[in-house]
Amino acid sequence: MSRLGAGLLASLAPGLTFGQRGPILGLKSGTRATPMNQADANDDSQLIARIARGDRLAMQVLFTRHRLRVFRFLLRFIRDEAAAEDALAEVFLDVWRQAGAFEGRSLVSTWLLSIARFKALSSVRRRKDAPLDDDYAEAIVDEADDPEIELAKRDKGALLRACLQKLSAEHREMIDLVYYHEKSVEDAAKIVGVPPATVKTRLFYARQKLSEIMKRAGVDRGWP
Amino acid sequence: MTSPEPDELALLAPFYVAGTLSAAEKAAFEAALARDPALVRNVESARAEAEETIALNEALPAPTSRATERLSALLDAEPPRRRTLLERLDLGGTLGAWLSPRALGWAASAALLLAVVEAGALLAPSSPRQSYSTASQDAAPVRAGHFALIAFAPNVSTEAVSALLAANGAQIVEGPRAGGFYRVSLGAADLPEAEAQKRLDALRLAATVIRFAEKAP
Repeated sequence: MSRLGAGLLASLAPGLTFGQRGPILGLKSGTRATPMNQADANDDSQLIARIARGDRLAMQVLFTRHRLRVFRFLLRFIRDEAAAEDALAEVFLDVWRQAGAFEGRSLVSTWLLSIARFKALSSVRRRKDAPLDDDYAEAIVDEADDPEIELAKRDKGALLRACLQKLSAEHREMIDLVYYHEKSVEDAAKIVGVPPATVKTRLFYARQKLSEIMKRAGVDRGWP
Repeated sequence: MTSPEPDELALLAPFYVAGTLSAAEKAAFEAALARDPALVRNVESARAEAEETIALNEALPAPTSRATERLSALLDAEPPRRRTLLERLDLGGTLGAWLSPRALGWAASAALLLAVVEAGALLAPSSPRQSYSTASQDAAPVRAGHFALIAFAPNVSTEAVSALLAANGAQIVEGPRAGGFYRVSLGAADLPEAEAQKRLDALRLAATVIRFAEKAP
C-alpha cells in the first residue's frame, strides 16, 4: 500500500492501540511524496480528532502520511538531516499535544507546515551555524556563476534547478510552498505568517529574480 | 468575486499552474489566458519552475527510522491522556465502523472463509506476548500459536485473500472485528518465531491484498 487513501480512518477499529516500536503499519518507506486531495484532507481532520483522544494508531497514520513532505520542508531550512529528523519528531509531538485545540480552520497539512516552520527556525537559531530566518530576506545567496551553473547551461531544466538553488531562502520557501507543497495563497500566508497579498508579491519577485539569474547565466526564458 | 486586474492575474500564474486557485479565479484566469500572450509566457515559465521545483524536492532524502523512533520515545514520555466517559465509549465511531459498506462486505466474505477454516483452527492457550489489541474486541480466545491482526485492502477479491493466506500458511480464526480487522493464525505454537515472522512479513508485502498486518496475541 503506497498511500493511505480516503476512508481509511473509517475502517480503523475505534480504540485500537499500537505497539511502541517497529515499522509503521508495515509500510515500506517511500521517497516520493503523494499529492493530497480533498478526501485526504477529510481523513486528516478525522485523524486529528482521534489523536486528540489519545489514539496512537491515528498518530502513526498521520505521521506516515505527512512525514516525507514535512521532513523535506524542514530540511530545506535546517540543512542537516539528523537535526531535521529531530525537528520532525518534535513537530508531531506538538500535534499530539495540541490536537485538541485544532479547530479545522486550515488544512491539517498547512497546520503541520506552520509548526514545522517554527521548529525549523528554532533549530536554526539553536545551531547558530546557519543564518537566522528572520534575517534571510536580504541574505541572497551568491549569484555568481559557478561550475554547477556552467555545466547546467547545457540543459535548460538543470540550469533552472541550479538557478532555483541560487534564490534566497525566503524566495525558495515561497516557491516550494506553492509548487511542491501545493499551497494556496491563503494557506501559504498562514504558514509564513504574512498577508495573502505578500505571498503573491513575494512569489512574483522570486520568479523575477530567477529570470534575472538565468539571464546572467545566458538564458532568456521569455518572462517577464 | 470580481475579475482580477491584469497585474493580479500575472501574480496568480503560479497558483494556476499548481491548481490552487478557486473556481472563480481559475475561470477568470483562463479567460484572460485566451487573449493575453504575455500571460501565456508567464504560465509556461511557471510550469517549468513547478516541474524543476518538484524535481529538486523529490531529490531530497526521506527521513530514516530514527525519526520514527525519536517520535515514539517522545510520545512514550508523554503523560497518559485523560479521556471522558463519552470519548471512551466512542459510540458514533464504533457504529460507523461496524456499519460501513466495506465492513459489511467483508463481514459476509469473512464469514464464508471462517466457516471453511474454523474446523482446522488450532486450540491452545495464547502467547503472553502482545503488541496489538482493540478496545472493542471480545475476550481473546484461548489458543496457542502465532497470530496476527490483519485488515484487507479495499475491493480485494475473496479469491486473492484465500490464495494469499493459503500460500503463507495463514488462516482466519476470528473476525471481522470493528473496522474490518481479522485475527489470523500464522502457525501452531511449535512453529519457530522466525518462521512466523517470515509469514507475517510476507503478508505485509502483499500490499494490494493486505493493508494492515501486525502481531497479535
